[in-house]
Amino acid sequence: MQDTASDDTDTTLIRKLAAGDRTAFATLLSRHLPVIHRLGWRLLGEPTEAEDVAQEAFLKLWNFAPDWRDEGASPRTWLYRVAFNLCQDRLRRRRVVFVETVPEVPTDPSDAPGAAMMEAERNARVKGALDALPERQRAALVLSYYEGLSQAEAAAIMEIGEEALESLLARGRRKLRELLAADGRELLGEMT
Amino acid sequence: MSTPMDMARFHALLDAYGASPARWPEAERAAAEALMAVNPMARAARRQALPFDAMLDTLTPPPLPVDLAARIMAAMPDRQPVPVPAAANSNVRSWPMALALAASAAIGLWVGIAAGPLTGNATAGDLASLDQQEVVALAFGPLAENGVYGDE
Repeated sequence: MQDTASDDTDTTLIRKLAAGDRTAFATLLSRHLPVIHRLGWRLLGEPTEAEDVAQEAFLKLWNFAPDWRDEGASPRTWLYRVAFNLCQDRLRRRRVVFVETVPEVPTDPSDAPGAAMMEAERNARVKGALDALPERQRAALVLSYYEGLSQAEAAAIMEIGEEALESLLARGRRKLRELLAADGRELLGEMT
Repeated sequence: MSTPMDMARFHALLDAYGASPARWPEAERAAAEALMAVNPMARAARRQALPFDAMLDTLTPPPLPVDLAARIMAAMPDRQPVPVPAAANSNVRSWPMALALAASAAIGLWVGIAAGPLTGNATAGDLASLDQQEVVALAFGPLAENGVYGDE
């Protein structure tokens, strides 16, 4: 009986995955599924699509494991990169179909009571503004600000230089300020 | 010792990465914090950047569906289990095989040495002229005085 200890490194788990060890796969899922799902949701704005992307990314990992070569990239970074690319593919397809669609606030908080309603409203406004950003700016903000990846990691996933990443981040934040300007004073007032 | 940071670069950090030092590039973090320690304008600029970060931080992702991991596991195609590569386990099981190989090599060497004086120049004809007892003696050493062949 193979023992997949929870303190195995990700790279060890990948080798076990290559050998068909489903328990190793379950351990990798428990470690990385929440962040990959969250990344998909932040980039795509749709919970269902985020689930699909997470599933596709992990199945790719399962299928790729026998060919895994330890060349410095961690399984976590590999998953981020694959999920990011899957999201980009979906966004490209969306552009073709919904080229004229204006992003909408994704939830209707009107039926939520009291403080929960206010929180849902803030969440929805920020989400709407984030979704309205140009894709590259949103991707930079999601990877760097929200996911907390290092500059080198985020830039590598986006296949750009660190200076270009910083430029996207600055422009993205400036655009967000503009988009939230109307709501900003009110939102900040509610928070203090 | 990092290079001192000027206010222009400090503002650029705030514009790109926000007010939390944890999000600033690691290579510049110490210089930025050193600037804040001595420059009230830097501290004020950071304070002004805090509310916008707080607003961005209100964005909370939806909870992970409780059955998503199970759905992904169920969708995995079968793969025939194969032994885990040695590197994934440990190398403690490789020594018995090495020991067996070394023992085989030693026996082969000993047989070769024992047969040395004859086999070094032996031809097929030489070997054919030896009787069975002589061949055994060459391969395994001299027989006991009273013989292993007993009744012969």
